[in-house]
Amino acid sequence: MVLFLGCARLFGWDIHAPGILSENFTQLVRAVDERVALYLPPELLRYESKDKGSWSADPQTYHVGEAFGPMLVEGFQNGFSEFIFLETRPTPEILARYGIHRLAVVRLKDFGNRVTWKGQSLTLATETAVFDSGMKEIDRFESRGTSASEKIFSKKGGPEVNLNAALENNVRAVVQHLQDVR
Amino acid sequence: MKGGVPTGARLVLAGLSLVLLVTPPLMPLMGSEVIEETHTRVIVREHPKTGKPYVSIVSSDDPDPKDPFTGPLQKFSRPDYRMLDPKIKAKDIPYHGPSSDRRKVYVLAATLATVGTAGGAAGILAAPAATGAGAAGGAGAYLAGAGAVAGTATAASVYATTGSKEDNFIHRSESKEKAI
Repeated sequence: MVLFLGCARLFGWDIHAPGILSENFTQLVRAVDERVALYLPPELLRYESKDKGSWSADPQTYHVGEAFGPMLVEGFQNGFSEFIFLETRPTPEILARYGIHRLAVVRLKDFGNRVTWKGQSLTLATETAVFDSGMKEIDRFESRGTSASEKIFSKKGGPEVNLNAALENNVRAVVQHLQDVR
Repeated sequence: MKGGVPTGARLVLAGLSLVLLVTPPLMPLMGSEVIEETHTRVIVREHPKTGKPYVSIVSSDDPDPKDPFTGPLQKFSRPDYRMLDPKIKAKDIPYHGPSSDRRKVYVLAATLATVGTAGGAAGILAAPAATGAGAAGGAGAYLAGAGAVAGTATAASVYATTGSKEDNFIHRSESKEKAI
């Protein structure tokens, strides 16, 4: 039994989302005229969610961060006329130097995976803190992106696209919230 | 996916980079606040999936900063979410993105089993039986234990949408304020 369990962990779904937004996103999100910066904690880009499965299910590994990071960048590119990505830890001096009046820091909060006999529902929850040029926090909000569908495991790329849709819906919520509360 | 980046977009980025590079040193001359040394510099990177350039602020202490996006750099076509509709057959919506090829995992498992580091022959024989329906395309065999399931939408949502009535799948995108 122990030997079997050790082996069973090797079987399963290794799910990489395409990591690119759909055409639908650009139709729904219009760029606003503002300079906005984005900082992503390194752990976000490395985040993976592992579902060990059960007696009737295969284990699943969702490579969330590797897709979510590029999708956030693309979402901000589409959402703001001047987008700056911070690869270094933000400081008030950096924000002042580059004239950044709003900085968004996005953190992962929760990744939900619900698989039933009929389908699957994926939800990504994030928390975004918004800072002004003095690094004073001026806003904080939580965003969720969900994609639920049936029979996705029967299609080539089904789990991958379902994951992509959940991530994209989160990106859309983040970008549109930032646009709304300017 | 579009092949190239519009010239206009490149000009805007080049302009933004120039402004970021040139303006700060001039600010003290204009009587603005004293700018601290930030040990940063501006570079232009290309989006790993679209190729569209964007401005990035990196540490100037690192002469060759590594691109933070370390995932698969292969460029895929944009996904068409109509393929999530259970009434749509897989062949109706072409898909050229990544997909989980579990056969490779089977080979790895068999290899490891042969050298005796991961499971025995009983495991190898039993596991495909448990997953065979999925390999053949059946969804029913994949009843995973529910993970940390996110909460439902609240009345405090600032923004929430659901897929159109014509769609047989649900997409939600929502956001709500939190106390600072």
